[in-house]
Amino acid sequence: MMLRRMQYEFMKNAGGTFLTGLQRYQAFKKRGKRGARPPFGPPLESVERLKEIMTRYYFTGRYADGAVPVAWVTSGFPSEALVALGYHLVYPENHAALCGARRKGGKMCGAAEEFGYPRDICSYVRTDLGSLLSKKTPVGRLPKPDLLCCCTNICQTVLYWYRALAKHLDVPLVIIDTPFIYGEAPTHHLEYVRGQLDQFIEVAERIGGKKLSPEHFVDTVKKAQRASSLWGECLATGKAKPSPWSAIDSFFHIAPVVTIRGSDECVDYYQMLLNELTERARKGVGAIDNERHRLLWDNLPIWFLVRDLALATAERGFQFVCATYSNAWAEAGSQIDPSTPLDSTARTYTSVYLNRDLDNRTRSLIQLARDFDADGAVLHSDRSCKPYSVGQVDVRNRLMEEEGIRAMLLEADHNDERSFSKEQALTRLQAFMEAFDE
Amino acid sequence: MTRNEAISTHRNQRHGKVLACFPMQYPRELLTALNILAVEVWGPPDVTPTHEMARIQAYVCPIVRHSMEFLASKEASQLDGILFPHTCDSLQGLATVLTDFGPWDKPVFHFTHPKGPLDSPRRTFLRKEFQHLATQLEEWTGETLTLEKLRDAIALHNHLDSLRGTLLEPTGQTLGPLQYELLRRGEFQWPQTWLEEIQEALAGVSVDVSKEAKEGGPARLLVSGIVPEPQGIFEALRQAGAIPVADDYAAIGRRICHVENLPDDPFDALMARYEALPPCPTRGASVDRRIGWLLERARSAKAEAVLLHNITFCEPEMFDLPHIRRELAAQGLPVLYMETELGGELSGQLATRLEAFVEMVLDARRKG
Repeated sequence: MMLRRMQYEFMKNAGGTFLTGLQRYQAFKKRGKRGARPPFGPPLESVERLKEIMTRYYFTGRYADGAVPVAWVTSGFPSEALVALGYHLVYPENHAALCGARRKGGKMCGAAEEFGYPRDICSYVRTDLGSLLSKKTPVGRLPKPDLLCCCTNICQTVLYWYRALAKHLDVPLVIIDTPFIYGEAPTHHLEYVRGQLDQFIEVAERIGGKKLSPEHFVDTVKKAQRASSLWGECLATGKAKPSPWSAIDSFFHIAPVVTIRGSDECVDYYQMLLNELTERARKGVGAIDNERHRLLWDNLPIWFLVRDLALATAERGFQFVCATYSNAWAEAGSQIDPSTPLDSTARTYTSVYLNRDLDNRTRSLIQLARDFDADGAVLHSDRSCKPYSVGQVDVRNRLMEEEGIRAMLLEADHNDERSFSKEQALTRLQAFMEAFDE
Repeated sequence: MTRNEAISTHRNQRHGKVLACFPMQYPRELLTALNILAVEVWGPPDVTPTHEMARIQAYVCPIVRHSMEFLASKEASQLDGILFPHTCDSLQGLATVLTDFGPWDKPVFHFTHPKGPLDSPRRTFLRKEFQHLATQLEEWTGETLTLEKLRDAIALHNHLDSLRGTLLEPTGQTLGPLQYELLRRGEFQWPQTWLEEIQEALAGVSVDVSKEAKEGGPARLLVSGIVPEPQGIFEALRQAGAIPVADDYAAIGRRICHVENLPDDPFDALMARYEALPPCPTRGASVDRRIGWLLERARSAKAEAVLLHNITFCEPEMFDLPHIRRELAAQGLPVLYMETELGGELSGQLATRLEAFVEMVLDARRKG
């Protein structure tokens, strides 16, 4: 244990630093060769720092089990207490997205299907379970968890997913069950979530072998809140014309607020990103050369298609300037009140975007479109994500009829490229864009 | 008695309201105590698709898509309100689309299940959720929910469940289309009427199960899934040479919760009955508990194989599939998994798969 801990700390500091240094060198060499890249504007400098952070995060993870307590956590889980207790956190959704972006999602989904999981299950789940079963991952290795932590605020699928993980890994599972909010949440629903938080902390303390320090917890909550607020400010720079970055960029830059929120590193990163974006906006530097139309993106990214999507839209002067997916992480953070950390955590994590009724979500989406002056919207109808997708037909109609925003449904899947026809999707997108100039 | 007749009888004779109830578990005792007729909506299978169904993507479960169509139809006008138990993401989506984007403009109620093992916070929540719903329904109907009324309703449903359990008992009658029709009639019948019909059916002839298996009778199956649709499934089973002897359909066997000694406090009694429910993934029961339950049901019914019959795109059931298949097979219980749509006929392809599976089971029996 001691030796493992020393190894973990060494890798976190020296090993991680060496690796990120190497990565920086490689990036420098690559940048030298790359030069200009029309139709896109100059790349964000912060990308290199983002890569460093995420490389270090996954690299350190390889040495985490046996050194520190490890928890596998859903993206919407109130993880601040785990951070304060010194857990190393793994986010299977983030890992699955990473596999998807590297176009390995289909292969891993296939491994899960070979085991017997049907193809109609969410492709994040199949990617993650496929990775677990085939012991293959682009990040080298994921540490084995001591605890599984699932919060149902993003979907019920995570409940089934983590039950399956508990079965495969024979590891305790904590479920924070957040009742869906229709209108306003009744008091007893929030009390219920609050009660589960108390219980969860007891379990996390017992497994982590340590008591939660209230001061440390509050400090972590403050940092998580600060990171979410900064993330919101970063996104808001997209209101500038031209937008200094795109919603597609934000799909990648969201990673730290998901995986390492509650840390100084996360806060520092978003401060750095904000500084850069503010400066770009001030100088009129856009993410694309010729921004003619501004689009809103709804639902999860199509991870294996993001580059093609960015290129196909940028070539015609279309820019995704905002996304409900990225925005969800900014909305939640601002509600946390460090003076009442547990009560506000219960409220915040219960009222995340996907856990609210469609009326609420549609108002939020329309507000986003107005704030960012979007004149078009692409709603990714994601066969792998029912809670995000059910209702989109009506949302599209409302956007078009009441807001005068051109909108289309783009049917795809967030991680399984096998369930998708690229040519067909891009042709539909082209036709949609052509209609703007008629 | 048909669904429409049941509704009309309730209105004319009991002068009560009619509440459309979505799958799958909800405190029906509260409704009975408040003179509300529960009319369950499992699709229905026989709707004619229009633009209403197209509002929900084709990759969403057909129960939800059919329900969207049904609730926008004229037929739904005879319903006074809807109750949505929080069963899955797709039903949750339907609940919010219907009310936020129409066409439903009558009252809607929600019942939220605590997900996961019933520990202290969940027990507290569940009790409050029962009380919350009771208060809302009282306001809606204008009826007062006395403890006596609730106690009587709970006793009635507990008795009903006991009889339903007997009807599904392996040592009682084997399950055929007629038994299933009777069991499913409870989806719209007034509980007392349903109880009388079940009592009448139970007076029928019973079959000696152990004898039947020895004498080369049909293959004995444990059936599990969401809802036995299309209904031709039982005829197809019979033709293939099999009969269901135990049931874990979410619409049927998975909702039976008989408690021997009910607590005196009606809300404690509701809790006790809820706790007695068989494990279901939609309420977050562990995979091991589900497998244990299926094994126990299969053993006590002397089932020789298991049919897992899912409705297309029903995610909760899919997650348990590989584990159920492996662990039951390891215990000598072969498993056939099949997916169907709600309506129409059972496809020839599925019928052939059923036949091949049953043949394999019977062959294994012959080889001993």
